[in-house]
Amino acid sequence: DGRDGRDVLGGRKRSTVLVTVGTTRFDALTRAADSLSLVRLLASHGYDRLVIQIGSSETFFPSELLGDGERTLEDGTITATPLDGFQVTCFRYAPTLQDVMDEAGLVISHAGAGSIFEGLRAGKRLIAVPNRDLMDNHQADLCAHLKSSGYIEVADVDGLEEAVVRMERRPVDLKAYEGGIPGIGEAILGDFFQHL
Amino acid sequence: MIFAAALAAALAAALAVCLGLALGRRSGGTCLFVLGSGGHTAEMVQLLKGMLSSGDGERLRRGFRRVYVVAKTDALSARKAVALEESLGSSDSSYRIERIDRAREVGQSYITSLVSTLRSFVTTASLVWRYRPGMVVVNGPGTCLPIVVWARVLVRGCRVYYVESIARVDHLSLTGRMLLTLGLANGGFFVQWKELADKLKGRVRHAGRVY
Repeated sequence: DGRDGRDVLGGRKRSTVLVTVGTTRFDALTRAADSLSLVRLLASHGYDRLVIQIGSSETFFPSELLGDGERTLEDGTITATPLDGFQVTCFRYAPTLQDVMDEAGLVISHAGAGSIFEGLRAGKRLIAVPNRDLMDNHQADLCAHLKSSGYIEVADVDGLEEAVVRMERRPVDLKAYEGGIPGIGEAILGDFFQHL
Repeated sequence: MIFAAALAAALAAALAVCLGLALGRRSGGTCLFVLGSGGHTAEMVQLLKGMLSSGDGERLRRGFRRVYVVAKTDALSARKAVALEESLGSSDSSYRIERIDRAREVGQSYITSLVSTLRSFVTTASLVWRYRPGMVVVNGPGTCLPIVVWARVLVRGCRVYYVESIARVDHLSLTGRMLLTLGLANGGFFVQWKELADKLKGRVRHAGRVY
């Protein structure tokens, strides 16, 4: 599978968009994902599913995409079809995001290092969204560094749609992330046994 | 006032260490890993996955029991520690989960933070004394500071390793700055970005990235 045009898995277009906040609470991002305008934009670029993983963010009911009514996220997963042929799924946590990640052609992630690198190591095109409400906003440093190195796009919560447009315009520009460089564990063990 | 006293105590402890006045017990057969929740835990687990499954890692596991220090309120980190050890095929008796009170909760007031920080200094002293770890690996949450201080003061021969978060690209976290200034990571102070290592010119090690 290449990064040209759209990621392809066995000939099938990867037509899912994943929004993830990891284990954190990031109300601003989950609320921004809850947008018919965003869904229309994604649909116009060939996506047909939006998965919103909200972690410990507040539930957003009534919701533009999921409708109102009695459901709560304590049930697990909620699915709705706000647009013909476009499905939206929402949940707090899954044992693993691997399956959804596999099917994702685009990942919009809170700017936690774990989530960003999880997406990058899976070869995903990724938009990182720093959480400005966090203490000292250290997420912004990592984002800026990875963006200037050409690995990711970065967006503020208010600039999500523009970021998607930018991303769709430059599918081949992003550099493939080669993965971590193991060595710290080795260095620790080396020192430890030397001093034993 | 209390904060000044706590700071003075920490500095005194570090000074004692620097002067080689490490009292207390010889290090025994345990390794202590602090899982500070959220991103800290994820990075630590990622680090340990590789470290403990390597050849030398197996040698370590044969000779040393692992102690994972987690906050009482952090069930997720405890689960991740168990999952890690089970993936290594470890016997139940070869590792332990130690649950402690958090030094401070997110959003806690200043005054109650001081009280709980002081209390955590006492709890962690007891923990370190009991386990007398030969190795301590920490990566930045506030809870790690008292543990590191006690390890250096109470346990002769303990090697302390600090791994700054991968999220710190061009400057250290507050915890990292304190540990580096006090010289507490006698085994090694690691940063994960070359830019940061270059900036800290020779005072830190750069040995790759966990992700």
